[in-house]
Amino acid sequence: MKRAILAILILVMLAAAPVFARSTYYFTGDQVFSIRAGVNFPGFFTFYKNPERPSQFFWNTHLKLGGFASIAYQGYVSETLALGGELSYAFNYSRSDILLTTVPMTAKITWVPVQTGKFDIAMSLNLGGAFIRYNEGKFFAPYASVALAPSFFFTENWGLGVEGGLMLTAEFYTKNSNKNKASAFAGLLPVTMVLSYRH
Amino acid sequence: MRTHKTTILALALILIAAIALCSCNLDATDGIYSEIADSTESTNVTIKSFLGIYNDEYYYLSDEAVRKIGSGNAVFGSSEQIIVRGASLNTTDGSFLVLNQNRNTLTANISYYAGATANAETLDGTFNGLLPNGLFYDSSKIYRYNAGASAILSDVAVQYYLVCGDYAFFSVKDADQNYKFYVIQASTGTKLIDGIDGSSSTYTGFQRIADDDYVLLNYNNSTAKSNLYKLTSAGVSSDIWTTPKSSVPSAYSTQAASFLYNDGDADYVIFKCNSYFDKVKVSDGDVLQISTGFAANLRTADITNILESGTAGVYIAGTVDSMLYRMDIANDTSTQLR
Repeated sequence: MKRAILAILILVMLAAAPVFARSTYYFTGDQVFSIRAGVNFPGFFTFYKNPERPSQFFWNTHLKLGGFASIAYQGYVSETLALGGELSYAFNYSRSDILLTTVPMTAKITWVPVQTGKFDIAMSLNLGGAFIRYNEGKFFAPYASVALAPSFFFTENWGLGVEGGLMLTAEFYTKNSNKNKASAFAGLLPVTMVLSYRH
Repeated sequence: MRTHKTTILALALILIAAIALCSCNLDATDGIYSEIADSTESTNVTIKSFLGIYNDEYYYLSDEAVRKIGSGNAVFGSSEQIIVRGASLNTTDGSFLVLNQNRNTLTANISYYAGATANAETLDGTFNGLLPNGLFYDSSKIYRYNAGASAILSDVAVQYYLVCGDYAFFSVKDADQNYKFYVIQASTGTKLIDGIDGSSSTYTGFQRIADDDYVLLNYNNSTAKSNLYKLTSAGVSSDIWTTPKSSVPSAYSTQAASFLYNDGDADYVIFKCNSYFDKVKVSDGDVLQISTGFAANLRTADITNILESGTAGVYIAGTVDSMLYRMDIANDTSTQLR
């Protein structure tokens, strides 16, 4: 099912690209400020240092549906590539009703292969770190995310879109740590509305 | 061009900050994601203690009633005037003792019920507490039920108590305001430790491991960890027996649930402070820390008490907000009962 949806999205994008990509809308130096807000689905936990423990997916992670919000600023360094940064906040409650917060601070690179002036399809990669807090535990984790966002610009400057993606964080413990087996990768799936201002 | 430089500078600063912060990692108290994956389901029911099993029914004391698993109705509930503060189930004959406190006067009495549907027989006197094993006390005496309130100990003021099954540890002040320690077997009223010199220390865990050997758990503020101490009729040993691995530094918890388990060859105390269960082997009056990690999916649960189920190797744990759990030692499984 997931593969089918992904395949359809890629096909739609590829089909649209030749039509829209004949000319680009953005110029080097253009800037985009965007804010996002939406929901955050649990994705997976993988305890890669503990072979006895199988990976847990979606609700089996024992996380509930949460929320996601962010602000981002980017500048175009070419006609299709924008660079900048993003500050985000994500939260989920566990089934014990304890709050998990993830605060990523990242560099953000966005590729906009489809851009008509009215309609964009953007793909983003974020890299950086995230403050993670749960119960009495705190951690600063490496962080990466990928996202796909089609947007419609209803004025020259303002646009509204939907973004879906995968947030990936990791919890590393050394071989000598008694928490070694707790080393994990965690995935969360934010789906947000994106409000963009460009000039 | 200027915009380029600004963007690249901002990007570089973010990356440098991220790398710097990663290098001084704030180590989590325990694995955060494994703690979430092990989290137990909150049920919005507060359990004060698991009372026991009678006729295959699992009874527990919630914050306002005596209830049993699978039933929406309280067995003994609170009312506008009365709130249920304590309860005890005699699993041999199915009788109950219930401590009812008047919401206005705050005085409490104890009712005896011959069964879950029997009429109440109110005991003479007003009482301050009722333990899950049936011992109860007022401002100067400790009692057990024996066709009425039968005093076991007099002229003492209970400071606090710890319960493991049929046994209870009491720290009291005597008539001269001296601290004394007692261990009392509820079913017989026997004083197994009879008024040894005590202290103002507040122990958080207690387990009987042999006829005259007991374990006490004490939290050490200076090390921010809990330690096991030996209690006998001679007193509390000043030497630390062992420090449970489950005693997570700086994560103080007053809960210290434990149970005694015999695998056919040796006795073990399985102890939980504030994280995993620790398995401690009892050998020749000594204890040896042998493993930790049992019942991992209960490590985030606040456990109220653990009792034998009547089946060898199977124990029932009451949890503060995740109902009851059935723990099977042999295959290390724990499943929620609700």
